[in-house]
Amino acid sequence: MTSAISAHGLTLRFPVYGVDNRSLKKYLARIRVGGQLASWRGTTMVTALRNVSLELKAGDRLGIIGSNGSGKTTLLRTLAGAYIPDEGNLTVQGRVASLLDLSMGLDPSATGLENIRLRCLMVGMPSQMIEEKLPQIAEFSGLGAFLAMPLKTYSAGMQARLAFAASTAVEADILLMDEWIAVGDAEFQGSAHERLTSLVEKTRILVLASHSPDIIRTFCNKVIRMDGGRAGPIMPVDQLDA
Amino acid sequence: MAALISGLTLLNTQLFNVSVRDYLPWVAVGFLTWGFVSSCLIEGSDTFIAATGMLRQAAIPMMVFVWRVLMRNLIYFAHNFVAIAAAAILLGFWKTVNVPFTLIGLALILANVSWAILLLGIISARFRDIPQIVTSMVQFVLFMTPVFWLPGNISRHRYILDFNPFYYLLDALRSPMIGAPLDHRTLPVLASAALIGWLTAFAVFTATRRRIVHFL
Repeated sequence: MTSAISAHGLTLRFPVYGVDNRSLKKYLARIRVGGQLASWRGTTMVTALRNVSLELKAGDRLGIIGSNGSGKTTLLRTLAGAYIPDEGNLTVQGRVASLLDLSMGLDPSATGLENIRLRCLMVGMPSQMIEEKLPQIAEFSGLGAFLAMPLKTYSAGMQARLAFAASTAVEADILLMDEWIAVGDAEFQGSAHERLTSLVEKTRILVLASHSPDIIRTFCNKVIRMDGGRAGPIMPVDQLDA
Repeated sequence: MAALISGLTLLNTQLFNVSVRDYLPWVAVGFLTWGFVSSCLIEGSDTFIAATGMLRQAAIPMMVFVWRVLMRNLIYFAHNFVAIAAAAILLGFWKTVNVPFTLIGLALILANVSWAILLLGIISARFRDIPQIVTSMVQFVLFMTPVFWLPGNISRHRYILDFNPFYYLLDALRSPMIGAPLDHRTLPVLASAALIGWLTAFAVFTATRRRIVHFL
């Protein structure tokens, strides 16, 4: 199966609601008084992506750079299918794995093992495959007997290990990542780095947003710069100036 | 729940002057149904809010979260059902259970709470005071609906029952389970509520599905 991402003229606007606008009671009161309330703060529309186009095919490793608020994460979420663009069209072929928020969908009162299963189910893994992968994920997490304990009893570092081990067990054609992930103590960081690198090597298309030019140079072969929701042209990574 | 039902039976058999044999099945099945409906509504308001993390980073079909709330509450329901089944065996009212109508009633309840979960989930994501409003409404409705009192006790102001959708929701499961005749309006009311409710919920869903993730 081919893997490709094709985006043409993506524009994404979203509403940001003021505090007052989150209350139905105040909303109705405003309608009754005809918008006369002085303290009313309305809805602001934010344009997070403006006319973004990009074409990626198998083998592409795209780095996204840009300052805070330039739309990097929004672009990743759009590619993941979480945000649906207002204009433009987007075709994504291949299985997408997003490593944007590792702790997605974890349940604090479920045990470590249950959370691994939950996380794998969430990314659409069939349950038979989960059972096959479970021992390997459990071993990698290095949590041993703690896996039978509820997640809320874990330290932050242990939770991060579990989330990392479970979410990097995916098999995907397209990998979306927001910053290079580094978790755990010194020893775990080493093996985590190794595991992530091998995942990146296996995947057909990588899209990685990062502030670090070094990370981009190491893992990417192409790069775009985002600024105020606009994306520059795709450049070879060696044209990336520090 | 067994303790609640025993207490209510002890109290209300005296207040309403009815026998335990008549009252206990009534309140037991009533609370089973009420517990299911009310917790679906309360948890339904949290459907998408609770799923923020997932909705923001992956293209998971949104209905998954609606089914998740429904399934979780069905498990609670099945769990509480064991206590009711025990009561049914002890008091012998299992003999009069009308199984086909019990299943029809349950199906109609599911058809209605599912759209309510979807609709409340969307509106609550947009307006954050809805979950609190739902919680206090549920409390109010509990007192206005014949969960632990008997509809026969009402003589004037029958509209408390006639225009109360929860009366019909409870009746749909309770009457067939305790071997009483269904209110003749229950099935048509619930069937049309399911139809209108689903059309409304679906229209709102179609209009807002792109936006829900931005509400969060």
